[in-house]
Parts: sequence; structure tokens; C-alpha cells
Amino acid sequence: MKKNSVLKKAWTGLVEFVAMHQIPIMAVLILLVIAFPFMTDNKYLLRIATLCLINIVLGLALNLVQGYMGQMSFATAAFWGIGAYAGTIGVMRLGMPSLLGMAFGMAVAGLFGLLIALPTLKLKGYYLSIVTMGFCEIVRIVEMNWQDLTRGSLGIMNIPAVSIFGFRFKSGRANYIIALIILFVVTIFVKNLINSNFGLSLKAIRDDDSAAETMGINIVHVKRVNFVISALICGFVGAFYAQYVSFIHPSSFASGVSQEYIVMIIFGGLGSIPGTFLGCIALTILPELMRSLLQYRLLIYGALMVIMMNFMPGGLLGNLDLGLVRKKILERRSREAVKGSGGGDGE
Amino acid sequence: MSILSVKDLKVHYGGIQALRGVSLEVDEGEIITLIGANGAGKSTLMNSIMGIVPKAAGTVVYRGEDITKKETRQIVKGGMILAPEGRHIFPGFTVKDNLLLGGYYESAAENEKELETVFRLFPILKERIHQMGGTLSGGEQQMLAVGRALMAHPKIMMLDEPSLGLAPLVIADIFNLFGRIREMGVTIILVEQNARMALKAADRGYVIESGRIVTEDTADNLLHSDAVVKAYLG
Repeated sequence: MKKNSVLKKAWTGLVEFVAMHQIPIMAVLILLVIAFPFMTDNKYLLRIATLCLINIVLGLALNLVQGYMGQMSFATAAFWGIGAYAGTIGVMRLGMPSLLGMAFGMAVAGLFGLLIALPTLKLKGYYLSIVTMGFCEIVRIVEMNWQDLTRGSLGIMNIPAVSIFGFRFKSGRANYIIALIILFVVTIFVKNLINSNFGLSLKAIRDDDSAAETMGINIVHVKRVNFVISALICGFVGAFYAQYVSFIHPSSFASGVSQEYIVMIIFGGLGSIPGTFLGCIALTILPELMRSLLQYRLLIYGALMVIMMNFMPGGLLGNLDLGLVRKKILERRSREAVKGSGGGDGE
Repeated sequence: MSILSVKDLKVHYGGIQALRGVSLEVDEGEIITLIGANGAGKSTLMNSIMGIVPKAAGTVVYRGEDITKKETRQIVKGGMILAPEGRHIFPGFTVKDNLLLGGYYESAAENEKELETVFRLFPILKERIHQMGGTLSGGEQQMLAVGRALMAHPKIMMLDEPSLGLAPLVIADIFNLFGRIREMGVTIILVEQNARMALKAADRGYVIESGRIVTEDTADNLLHSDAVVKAYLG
């Protein structure tokens, strides 16, 4: 018990420290992340780092649906795969330039997102989970069997690398930087979206949809728009992923992969951007560290989930709003300052 | 001039008739109250006027415009809002975010101004501005629900059981503010089981019984009418 309270104290202390020094901490972290590819030549490290970045983007997209809208979606891998396949087919069959291919992958994924959202999001609760679970499997089966389009289980090889204005980026370092830029843009976008009126209504629907309706929020519309945005992000990063790894295979986009993303964001914290970062990075690196027992990875995931649900049901950083913590500290300090000066007058 | 007129409104829940043809007229600047027992159809009436519950028959005319078939959000934009039964504030939102959600369709500048108005009315909310809605006391939560409704710049504010589960002193505090809210140009429709409090605050009252309006009169007369005293004031 006592030990627990010490831990708790240390944790709140850490949170408060981070909340009060957000800008310098962010600056150091950003510098580190930018400097990272220039500090190492190790291809393997760069690849893991790039995968981390891609996973964070997918985690953010999933968190929009699961964390902020509160409906579990198993479609992450499906939209990611649709984006990867559509983008690749756009580039290799239709002769699109690399960036247009990414936009194409994004658009196709968004279209499928809309198709799912139109009938399903009229309902609340687990219907979306069930539909997306099926959808993910359908997408994988189509990828596997539509041989003419996707080459089925052979996968698509030799996908041309990302090229911007005629310059081809083949090195791991360049791709890391591109992934970093994508992540940066997506993070800013998601952050602004969440802090906007739209984000507020999204969270209102999650917490109490009948009250949200009473306040005049168009619940179905907000949910649909949000779901499509999530699909668009997945599709774009999917097309980038294909051009980065240059080989795609249906098994990369199976429904089990969707579950991994769900685990990542639950681990990090539903409805938290720093939590998404933490969860995705931790659970991308962890399996790499346990490579020798890879087939037991899901076992460890399962154990991790049980432990998390028991002790931190909100995830590591679930519903932690650093801005709010900061405001509260400042308020407390100003109150203490008033008290202090009041005491001074008395002397 | 009547700002809201409801004619022969009927609502079914499955096979059950919750409203069997309710008509009422509300004049601008009035405080009217609907009193009735549990299950009489008071909340159903509010919810169906707001378009949350589908209407089976009847018309609702608001400021000369037929809003019978409009969706809730259009009605809210038009200036009618409901502070729902049981308050339904967002426990995981700060007080400020709760209030901002009420001003969902207003501009940021407008919301800033309106926040000040709400804080003048309920100074306690300003002290609690960064606190989570769920950590407020029942009375404060009710104030928050009223404040949130005010953020939408309503012409008509409907309050469904604002006294629910509150201490008598707190109820009195809240009811005393209705006069000031009326001065801001808001017409108030008050749904209450606490008939005495409601009739004291209101100008006129309707008594609703199993989906029908059975009596309509000024609040004073209702307070002294034998039937009402017997049935609701005890």
C-alpha cells in the first residue's frame, strides 16, 4: 500500500514536471528524432524506427475512432492494406507518379471508409466492431484471390520507391525523414481536429450520445466524417508503406494486425496523443526485442492487456490532458501566492 | 404573441400512447410549467417538441414557423433548447468544455461573451472552470446544465426536472434565477414533479395526466385549486 502511494507520488510528480516544461521537452524530443537517422547507419535500426513512425500514424487514425469516438474498429489493417494496394496499383499499372499514388491510395481507402460508415454508424456500440472485423477479412480474401489485380499470395514485388519531383528516395534515412514528415503533419492535424468544435462533439457523443443529441449535434454525421478521416489517414500511410518496403503481401493486412493496433493504443491510452506515441513505439520495439520468441508475442500481448485492464484501465496516458494539468498547477500556485502575500501583510 | 404553439401532439412508444393529443400555447417572455405525476408524459412532450422522439401526429409552430418535422439540430439552431432530465452533463469534460458544447453553433467570440454571462449568473462555475463536470456537486451540475443550455442563445429554454435529487435550499437557489434568465429574453418551460416550487416560479401552468392536458390556468389559481392541491401539493 505504502509502496503504491510512493509510486503514485512519483508518477504525479513526473506528470506535473512534464506538464510544466512541455515546450523544452518537446523541443529536445523533436531534435532527437530528427537527429536520429544521422547518428546511425544501421539499416535495421532505421527500419524499426520508420515502422514506429508508420505505426504511430495508424495508431492516431485508430484512436480517432476508438479513443475519441468510443467505437472499436478492426478496420485499421483493411484501410491500410487498401491504401497500400490501391497506391501500388496506381503507380505500377496506371503509371501514376509516387505522390499521386499515395493520394490515390488515400482516396480509395476513404471511399471504402464511407461505404462502411454509411450503414454502420447509424448504430452505436459493437456493431461497428463486428462489421469491421468482417470487412477486414473480406479485404484480405479479395487481396489474396483477385489474382489479376493483386497477384494474390505472390504479393507485389519491386514497388518503385518514393519519388518527389523526379528525385527517388531509396535510402532508409530518406524514408525515415519522409515518414517523420507524414507523422508530423498527421499529428498536428489530429491535435487540431480534437481540440476543435468537431473534436468536442466527438467526445460528447462518446461520453453521452443522448445529451449530445439534445445539444443539437448531428451524431451520425459527425461519426461518419470522423470514420472517413481515419480511413483516409490509414490509406495514405498504407500507400507510403508499400513504396517504402517495396513488397506487399495480403498477410501484412490480416485482421490480426488490426488487433495489434488496438492493443497499441489501449496500452498507450485511449484518447491521448502522447499515449498513442508511447504505446505504438513500445509495442513496435518490444516484439523486435523478443524476436527469438516471436510466435509467443500474442501471448505476451494478451498478458499485457490483462495486466493493463486490471491496473490502468485507461492505458498509460489515457485521458491525460497536459494542458489541463498545467492550468491547474498555475491556478494552485496563484492561490498559494495570494495566501502567501496575505500572510505577509499580517506580519 | 405566442412564441410556441403545440397542437394535438401525439406520440407512441411501440403500442403505448405516451401523448394522446396535447395542445399548449406559450407566449414570449413567459415562464410556464408542466406538472404531472411520473409517467404522465411530461418528458415525452419536451423530447418530442425537440425532435428527439418522433411525433405520430400534431403540429409544433415556433415563432410562426412549422417545426414539426425538423431535426433536433435545426431546432437548436433556431433557438430552442432542452436541459434534459437528470442533467446529462459530461462528467469527463471540464466545466468550460461542457459550456462550450452548449454553444456548439456559435462563434468563438460569441461563446467568450456568453461564458461571462453564464458566470455572472452562476459564479461558482467560474471557480470550477477547469474542474471535471463529474466532480461537481448535484446543485452545481444542475447549474452547469442550465448554463450549458444558455450558451446556445435560446429564445426558449425547456428544463426537465431541474430539482431532481437536489436539496431544498439548492432548488430554491436555482429557481430564484429563473426571473433573471427571463430578463435576458428567454422564455422558460419548466417540467416539474415538485409542483409547489414550479407553480411559485411560473406565470401559468398546465397539468398533464396520462398523456393529456387536464387543466390549464394561471400559476396562482392552480396553487389554490382544490384538485391540484389534492393531487400534487398534498
